[in-house]
Amino acid sequence: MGLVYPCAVSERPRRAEEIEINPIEDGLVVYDPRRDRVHHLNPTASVVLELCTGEIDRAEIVSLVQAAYDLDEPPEREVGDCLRQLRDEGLVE
Amino acid sequence: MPFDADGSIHTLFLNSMWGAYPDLDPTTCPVPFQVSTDVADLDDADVVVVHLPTVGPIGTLPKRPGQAWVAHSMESDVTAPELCDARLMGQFDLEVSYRRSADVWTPYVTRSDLDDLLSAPQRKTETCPVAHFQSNPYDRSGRNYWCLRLMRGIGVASYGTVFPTTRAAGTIGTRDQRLATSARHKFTLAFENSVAVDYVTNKLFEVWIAGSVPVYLGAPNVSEFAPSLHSYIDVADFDSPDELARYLNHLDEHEDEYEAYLEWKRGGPDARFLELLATIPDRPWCRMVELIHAGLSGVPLTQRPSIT
Repeated sequence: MGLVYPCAVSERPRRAEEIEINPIEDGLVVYDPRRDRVHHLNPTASVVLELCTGEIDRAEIVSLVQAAYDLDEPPEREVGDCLRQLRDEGLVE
Repeated sequence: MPFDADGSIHTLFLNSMWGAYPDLDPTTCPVPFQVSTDVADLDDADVVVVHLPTVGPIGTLPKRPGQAWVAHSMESDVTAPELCDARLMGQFDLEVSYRRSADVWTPYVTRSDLDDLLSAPQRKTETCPVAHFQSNPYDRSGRNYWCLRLMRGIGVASYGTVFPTTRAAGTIGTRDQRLATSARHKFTLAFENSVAVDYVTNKLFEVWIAGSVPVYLGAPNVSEFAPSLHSYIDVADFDSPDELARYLNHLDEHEDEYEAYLEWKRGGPDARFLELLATIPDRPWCRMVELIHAGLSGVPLTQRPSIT
């Protein structure tokens, strides 16, 4: 039996339809009515969430975040961790 | 007698607009009214103005007979979907919003902006052709994607805290600072946070005032708000950010074609635009109270479809 990755994030992640997103001064406040939970996303996590349109693939998100913050290296790990956390919290599918 | 003892209309602004209340002087209006922001006045108020984007559920709020409720929003009906909720809107007597169908239309441009709009454009001194100001990542229009992809194809000086690319990022906070900075760039991104009919905000009008050429992403009927049909570049006309970047680079290298986008600054806006400005209420809150006053005096308020 091969390895199973139950936490794998979709190749084209999409924001969960049910969540309510509200802008604040330093990012976003996201309310998930299904879990009755409120999340505060800092600006970088907010950018990642907003790029989860279901049309942009994961590699492109990495590339766009690299451009957004003028990074020397593609932030593969950071974006991957962020996507997993967003998925674990039910904010992206 | 629905009015206060002194005859004025008691108007309660039930909740703030992101922490602020309208800047108005009711003493200068044709129909006198008083303003309160104290929720304790809810029962006594003749008029209750509800800012829809920040109010939360209002289903349990009591509406006193004879009291007029006013729905207010300057956010799009994408961000404030309550505007499209017929059952909710049926509880209100008036709408004050950016929508042209509102009882009191409050667009992001006023008649008094005309002189500023016609100010002469400045010489473009920045090496980066495109300016961008964005300090909120909220995105229901695809603006983040278009901006970031555009950055690959053309120089974008980004002054906001979202996608900062300049040393000045985060330091340009006032309208005057934005205008002065935008004026030095050939193009400025005017990307709305959501796409909705009539939702044309100060993001676009400020670029026109500054004398830069707006690259616009937003309302499908933006042309109705334009001083000239050749005064902006609509993202909707392009299949991809790469194609848009190629066009902007082309304009950057062909001065005559670029200058054509600023011709209206010298020749004046279209008559259609002047007609549009003429339809905007001078003082919208005064206008609201006039309508309420007419309604409370026995003339029916504007009727709207209601589903209960």
